[in-house]
Amino acid sequence: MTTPHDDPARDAWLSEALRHAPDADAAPSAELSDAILRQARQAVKAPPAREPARANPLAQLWAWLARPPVAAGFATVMVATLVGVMWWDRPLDDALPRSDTPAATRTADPPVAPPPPVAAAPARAPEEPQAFEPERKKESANTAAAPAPKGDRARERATERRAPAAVTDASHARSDDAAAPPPAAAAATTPPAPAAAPAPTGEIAAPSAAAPARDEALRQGSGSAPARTLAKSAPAAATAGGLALRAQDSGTPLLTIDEPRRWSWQRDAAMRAMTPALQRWLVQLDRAVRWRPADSPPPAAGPHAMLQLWRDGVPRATMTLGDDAVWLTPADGAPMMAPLAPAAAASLKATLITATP
Amino acid sequence: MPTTDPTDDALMAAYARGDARAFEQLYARHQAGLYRFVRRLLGTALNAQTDEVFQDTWLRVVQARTRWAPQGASFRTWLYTLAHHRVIDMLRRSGREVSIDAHADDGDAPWEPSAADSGAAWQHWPAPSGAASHTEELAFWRRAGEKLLACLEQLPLPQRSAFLLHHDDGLALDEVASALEVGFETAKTRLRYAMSKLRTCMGAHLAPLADGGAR
Repeated sequence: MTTPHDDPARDAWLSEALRHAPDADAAPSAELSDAILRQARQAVKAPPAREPARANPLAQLWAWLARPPVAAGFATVMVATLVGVMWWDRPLDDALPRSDTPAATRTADPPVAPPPPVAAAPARAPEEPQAFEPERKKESANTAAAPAPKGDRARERATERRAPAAVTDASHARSDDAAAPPPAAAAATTPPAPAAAPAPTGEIAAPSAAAPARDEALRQGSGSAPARTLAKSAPAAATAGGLALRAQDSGTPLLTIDEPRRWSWQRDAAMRAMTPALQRWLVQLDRAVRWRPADSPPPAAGPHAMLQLWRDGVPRATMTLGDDAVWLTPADGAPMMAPLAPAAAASLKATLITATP
Repeated sequence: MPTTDPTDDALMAAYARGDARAFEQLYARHQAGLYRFVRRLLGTALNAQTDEVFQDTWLRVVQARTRWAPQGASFRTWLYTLAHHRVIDMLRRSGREVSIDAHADDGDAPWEPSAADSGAAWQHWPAPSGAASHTEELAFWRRAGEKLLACLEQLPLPQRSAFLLHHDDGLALDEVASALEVGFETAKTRLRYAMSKLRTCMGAHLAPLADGGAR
C-alpha cells in the first residue's frame, strides 16, 4: 500500500485549476447514458438461452475441447499415444531399415568413435596378457561400461520373447543401445570382409572390455558398422583380456581364451594358429547363444561343423555346430549346448567356414 | 445518518448475477469522472470521440461482467484501466503516435525542482480555498483551468493519465500504478514529471494575481 510519505501530495493549485477548468462539469449526454444502460440491461436479460448449455457438462466439455489451444493439445497427446502404442514392447531394431549390402562393399564410411576412455584405461600391453577375470568385468561394467548389465537384461528379455533365439535378435538385444544397428547381424549374414578384418595384435576383444568401445561405435555407425566396428575396436580391446564363454545360469567360465597367441584351432585339416577372424566368430557365437548343460550328446557324425580348440598343443574344447544347436565340450568339463534357430545356425556355420578356411 | 452503500465490487458482482440496478448504481457513481478522464486524455483534437470511447468502455464492463473478479484491484481501478486502453486505441486509430515511455522526452535524469519551479509565479496565486469568494479570484481560477487544459495536452499520454488519475479522480498512487499497469515507482516518476511540467507551464503563462491579475 502507498504510505503518505510515498504518495506525493496533490498540488492544491493544480487541483484548484482542474476544478475550475471549462470541462469540469462535462458529463455524458442523457441519450448516451440511456443507450449504455439499455445495453447493460439487455445483456443480463439475454443469457437465459445459454444457461442450459452451461448447465450441461457434456456441452461444456465439448465447448472446452473445441477451443483451438485445447484441441491442438489434445490432438498432440492422441498422436503421441498412438505412436507409443504402435511401438510398445517392440524392438526398435525391427523398425530400422535393414541393408543386405555386405559391410565391405559399403562406400559410405560412417565415423567410428574412438573407444571410451574407460575401455582403454585398463588396457594392457599385448606382451602382458591377463586372464579374463570376472572381477574386472564387473568393475568395468560399473564404470563407463555400465550398460553391460542393462544389455544382459535386454538379452534375457529378448531370449524370453523369442525362444529360438535368433542370432540377430539376441545380438541386438545384447547391445545396450537398442537403437544401434545389430553388430552381429551383418557378420552373421555376410562373410567377414577381409579388408575389414585385420586385428594387428591378433588378440580378441573381451566382451566386457570391448563392449563400451563397440557399443559406442555402434551408436555412431550406420548399417555397415558392425563388421567394421568389430574390426576397429578389436585392437583397442585386445589388450584388455581374453574371451570367456560362460554358462547361462551360473556364469561359470566354460572356455577362456586368455592369450590367443597360445591358441590354435583344427577343423578338418591340420592345426592352425588362432586368427582374428575366428576370434570374431567366437565373439559372435558368444553373443548369439546361452549355454546350458547338454541334455543330449553332440552328434558324432553328419553334416556338422566341428571345431577343436587347442591351447599350447593341448585340446581344450570341441565345438559342434548343428542345424539347430551348438555344443561345447570342454576338455575338463561337462558338455554344454545352446539351441539355435536354423537360420542362425546356418549363418554361424557359414561364418565359421569363412573364418577357418 | 450513516448509510451502508454497497461497494463497487459488490455492485459489480450483483450485476454479474443479473441485477441491472446494480449496474445503474455503478454507472451513476463513475460516469462523470470517467467521462472527464476520457475527454481530457483525448484532448481537444479528439474531443468528438469522447462519447464513443466512453460508451465502449462501459460496454467492455458489460461484456466482462461474468469474468470480472476483484483480484487485488478495485472496480474503479479496473474501470479506468479499460478506459485508458480504449483511449490508446483511439489515439492510434487516429494516427497519433502514442509513446509508451513517458520519459522519452525527458532523458534519463530524474526530475529535480528547478529554480524556476521553486520561485514560480503560481506560488503567488490566490490560495486554493476551494470556494472562490471573490469574483476576481474566480475569474483567475477559470483562466487557470483553461490554461491547465492546454498545458495538459502538451504532456505525454502516460504522464497526463497519471496526473489526471491522481489529481482529478482521486486515486492513490498505488491505484494509479495499478490502473496504468506499471510499477509504483514508474507511476510516481510519471506523476512528478507531470506536476513539474504543469507548474512550469502554468507559471510561465499565467501571471500571479498579486502582480496585476491573470493575463
